Amino acid sequence: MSDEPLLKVENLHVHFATRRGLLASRRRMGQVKAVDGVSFEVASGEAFGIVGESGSGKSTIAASVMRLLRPTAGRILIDGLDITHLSEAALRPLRREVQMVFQDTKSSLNPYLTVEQIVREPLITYGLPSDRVRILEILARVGLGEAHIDRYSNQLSGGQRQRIGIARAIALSPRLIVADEPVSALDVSIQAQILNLLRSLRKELGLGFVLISHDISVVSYFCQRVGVMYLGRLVEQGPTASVMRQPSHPYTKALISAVPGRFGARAERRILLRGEAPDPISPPRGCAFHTRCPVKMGSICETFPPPYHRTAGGGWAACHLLSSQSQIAESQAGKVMI
Amino acid sequence: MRLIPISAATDPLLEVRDLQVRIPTRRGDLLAVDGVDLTVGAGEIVGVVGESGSGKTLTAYAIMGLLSAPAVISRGVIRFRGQDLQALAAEERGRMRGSAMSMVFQEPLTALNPVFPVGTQIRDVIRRHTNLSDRSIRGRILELLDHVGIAGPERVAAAYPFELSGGMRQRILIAMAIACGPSLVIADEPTTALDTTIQAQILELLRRLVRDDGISLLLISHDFGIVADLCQRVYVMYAGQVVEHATAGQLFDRPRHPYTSALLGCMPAARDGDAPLDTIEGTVPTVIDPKALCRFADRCGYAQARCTEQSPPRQTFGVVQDALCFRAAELTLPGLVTPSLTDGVLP
Repeated sequence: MSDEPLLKVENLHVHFATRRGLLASRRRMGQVKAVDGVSFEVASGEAFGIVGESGSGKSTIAASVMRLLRPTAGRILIDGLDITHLSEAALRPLRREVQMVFQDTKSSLNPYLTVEQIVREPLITYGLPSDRVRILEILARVGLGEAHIDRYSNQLSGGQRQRIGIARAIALSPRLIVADEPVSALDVSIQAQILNLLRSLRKELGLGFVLISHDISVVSYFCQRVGVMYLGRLVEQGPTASVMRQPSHPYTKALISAVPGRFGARAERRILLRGEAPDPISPPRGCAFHTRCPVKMGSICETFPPPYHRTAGGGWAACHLLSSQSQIAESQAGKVMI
Repeated sequence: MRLIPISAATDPLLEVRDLQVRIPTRRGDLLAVDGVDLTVGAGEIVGVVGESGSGKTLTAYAIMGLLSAPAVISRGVIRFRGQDLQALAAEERGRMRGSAMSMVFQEPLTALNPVFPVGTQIRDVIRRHTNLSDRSIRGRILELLDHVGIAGPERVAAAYPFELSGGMRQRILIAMAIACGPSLVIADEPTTALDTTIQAQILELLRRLVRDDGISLLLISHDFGIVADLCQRVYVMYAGQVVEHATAGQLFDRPRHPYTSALLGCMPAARDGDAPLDTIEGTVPTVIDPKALCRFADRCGYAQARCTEQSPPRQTFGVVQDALCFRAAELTLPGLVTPSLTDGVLP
């Protein structure tokens, strides 16, 4: 298992049945392919970022990696061990290794428990020492202390609550953290504190991260590699610096250029996409982006799903425009290629 | 000294002087807005930027006359086209709201009534402020929807809010805001709930309304990027006060208040992943019993003894820029040092 990456996601598909009508449970109407063939890898001490807009499938990937959902197809491997179909009992020791940090700290912390009780819960679950001294040790790791341990979550600020969420996640000494929009609800000065904390955990404890965010600047700061989601698929993946400075996929270009102010393109150079993302219940044929693509070529884009082409920056992008670049097999799409 | 002709044209469209908003609490009166001066000229886009609790939204509500009890305006003057708004009768104020000045709210799903089609809701606004016939109103609604970039206005006018996407709903709110030809629109975080590519569309729409329709825009935002993108002048608020006023360019290249500079250092885009981000330790104070001191002093990296002993002066720099800081003139504060994410490669 030594050469295996910490997390490997292979050709992941998560489909949901859609139902309609009052007797909803009876009638299956169709299916939403929330995640439709996604592959990536994360090494220890590395942060992989997933950017994309609402409904692109980012959070469904998070829930699948946590095995809160059972994937429709594909595999999820932790240290080379296939966890895709493990039973709850068999998953239990693995749950220690993979923990999650949520966006909404109000709803993800139990309001009836004190900070001490919240952080103690996972320790009790796994029969680990959970005296007050141990809890204080964990709290110190996230920059909290005696002053906070007896409080309830609603007595804390948003930034402090997110620190509790992180303390709970690291209490079991996991190796991988799945963070779903961990700083989206926070003011910019607090966001910086939390990103610095996550960064020190990654560097000092060697934790791996899957960081999901709609905010390109957060991902580009925190993550070494990044994948861009559109309608359930990764359309581009590669080292963050090269994806950000030399995006290859037209959607990545538009997404980066849409960042307002000095961080994106100047207003007059901005690529404005027409319309909004199509309904994932009936995604467009061919390349799913062709309905909004400013550089669509024609029938090839409307008919054939684009293959993965290597990009100059050491990643890949799924776009017919790159057909002069060499192709890579779908099974290799998750591999780190640097 | 320049001679300025005395005429109505030189008066700003909106002028706020020494505005104070008080909220009584059990611990005493909270000064949520405290001594804010602000102007918006005709055809201008002006930003108010600040973190939660800075008082930016309450400033907007005070201007619109939408403060609800227990918050009250306890001091100051709000003049719109030279007219003192607080001297107006409630009825007159109500006629003005939605016609001469209007507001776009952050969360379009809660700002729209869920049980009426959106066309009906736009109709109600027009009916309240004009004497148009139903047929003309119908035409005006379709024209408005088309103007804010909605394809298939007939179909959308008949839709309920839940049937529309977030971006569409925000376009509807903008259509309602401009329905009666306002000269001032206040937009409170108009794109915060939207995806990046949709946000870019909405910002472009607001830019076009100012350019083509002669509307002035007061934009309230927590996002420096949006403010830099859209605004000519920006007010930075902290703990109820305007701590800095500058052009968007000055704000990023040569900030004069340590708070502005510190916020720029917190932005993830300002660093690559090898360096930690700057942080501002502590939290925004709640101002209940104001003392004579700088409200940012306990979090400021440049604070001196006098900063906690006296109220700082407002120092001015050139025509536009000013900062509420003792050391504004002597300090050279870092601005935004980053190159753009998209360095050169994008078309």
